[in-house]
Amino acid sequence: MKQGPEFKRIEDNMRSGQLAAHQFLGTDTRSLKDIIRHDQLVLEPLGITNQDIANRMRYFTEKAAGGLGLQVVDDVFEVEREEHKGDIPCPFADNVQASKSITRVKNLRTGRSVSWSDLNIHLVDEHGFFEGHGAPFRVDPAEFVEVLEIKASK
Amino acid sequence: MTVLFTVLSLSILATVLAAIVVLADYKLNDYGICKIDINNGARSLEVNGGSSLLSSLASQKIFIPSACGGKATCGLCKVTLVESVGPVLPTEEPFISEAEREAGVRLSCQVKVKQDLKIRIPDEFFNIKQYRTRVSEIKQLTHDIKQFRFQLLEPTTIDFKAGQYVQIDSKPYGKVTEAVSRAYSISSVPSENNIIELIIRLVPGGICTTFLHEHVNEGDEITFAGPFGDFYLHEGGDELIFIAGGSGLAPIRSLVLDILEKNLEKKMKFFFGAVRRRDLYYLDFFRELEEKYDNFTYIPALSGATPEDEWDGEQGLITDVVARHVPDAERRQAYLCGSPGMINACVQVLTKIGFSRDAIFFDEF
Ligand SMILES: Cc1cc2nc3c(=O)[nH]c(=O)nc-3n(C[C@H](O)[C@H](O)[C@H](O)COP(=O)(O)OP(=O)(O)OC[C@H]3O[C@@H](n4cnc5c(N)ncnc54)[C@H](O)[C@@H]3O)c2cc1C
Ligand SMILES: [Zn+2]
Repeated sequence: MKQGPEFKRIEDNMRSGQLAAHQFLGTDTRSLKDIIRHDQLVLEPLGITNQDIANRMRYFTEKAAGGLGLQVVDDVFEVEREEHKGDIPCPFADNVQASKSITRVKNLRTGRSVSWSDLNIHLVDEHGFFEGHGAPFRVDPAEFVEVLEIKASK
Repeated sequence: MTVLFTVLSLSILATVLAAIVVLADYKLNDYGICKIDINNGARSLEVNGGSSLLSSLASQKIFIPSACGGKATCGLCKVTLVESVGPVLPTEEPFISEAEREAGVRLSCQVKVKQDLKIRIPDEFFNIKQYRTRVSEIKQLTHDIKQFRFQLLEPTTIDFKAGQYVQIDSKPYGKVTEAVSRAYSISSVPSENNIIELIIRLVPGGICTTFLHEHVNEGDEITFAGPFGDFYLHEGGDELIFIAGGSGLAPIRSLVLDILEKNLEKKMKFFFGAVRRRDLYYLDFFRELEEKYDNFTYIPALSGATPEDEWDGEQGLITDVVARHVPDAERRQAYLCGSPGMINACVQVLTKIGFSRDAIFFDEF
């Protein structure tokens, strides 16, 4: 997980509202480091890593791509992708750009849904960053594990 | 009293110190007046050194396309430096190809003007201006798409080619403290040169689209720069295949209307792909054009129609619909506008049909 000395600057960047209208930290007052650490503590006892979550998100994103509208995946998940023009830069200033397109998944067993943008996959995968509480693009790890039925990888 | 005095003298001291820092900074970074030669003498500017090339040019009313406002995240603001002023920066690397690096291409937002410069830009850039406008009409086209009409206030007219785009400036609102500029294709015709129309799809959590959809009203003043882009009608092609999805209808509408207005001898087929019936708009408009003009065919298609859509038109992925209706690439050109996913899929299908890459046009982003 990349955590350079520039963390403070990155955090300011995220709070500024200059990267995206809905900030990355939401109403969260904890530091960026604390936010990342707490989400990791949620995952550890489940034996699930941030990469496991990113991989599962990527799996559904690929299934939803192609513009066919609502699709059912593995009989359990209803997936849909909203394609948007344009890329958004990663707030960790690592020169990574991700598409603004959004993927939605509904678990037909439970009726619960989650959604994410392509940038979220990169943030979870590379930075272990699920975003702050109250951020509209927050990937709540516990919720994602349940809705996407993510199992421990080992 | 003493407290007040201390506070006062402290703040005076602070002010003086701040002034010294500013002065020192100014002295250290005083590059004086720098000359910028553009296109081998076509224009010659004098600017105060120290700012980015992008903003120095803008200060002299030469606008280079940029969607991120100088943060090296969009890669649009490329110019060629005829004489190198240093290596490509790490921030530029993702956007500059090896061939471009050799040709001296740089992102103008990352080049600081510290000495006289010789640069090359496309001639069209001289036509780019900053416009002040008034929003004269806002129309809801679908659940998430609105059309905006802007009356030009200053300058009062714009000279653009159908298919080009402008960069709208947002303003701070709510918790968003910074203004951004974003690219939007013009959907109106060039002949109506005192207004422009844009078709804007709300992006969830998007800075500029939230600003436009929720914080802009008829009568408000908005600025934009333009026109930009080379997504316009190119020579060749007796039949034009237009393919669009979502807000991608905008430049296609401008192109189709412009071609009809100019009576160009071109056949046109316009494929518009959407998922559900509720994502279709301008349906009656294009159906009427189809009735009126023999050389224009309109093929809207739904990829995820449900019975409640009561849709009896074309169904399936837009790429499959195109494959069914376009037999070969003979004397045909294709113009695409939509999401990157749609464009990639269409380029693949068109290539299979036999289109060469230089007969397929779309905005790069
Ligand atoms: C040449 C060109 C022409 C164009 N023409 C048109 C047109 O005619 N009509 C049109 O509607 N658009 C057009 N666009 C797209 C347009 O320029 C903008 O990219 C688009 O409107 C979105 O801008 P925005 O500021 O609203 O979104 P932004 O604020 O830039 O991005 C918002 C998106 O970024 C992601 N995101 C934001 N914050 C987070 C977070 N915290 N965590 C995870 N993900 C996050 C999400 O996906 C979110 O939906 C065009 C683009 C180009 C390059
Ligand atoms: Zn990153």
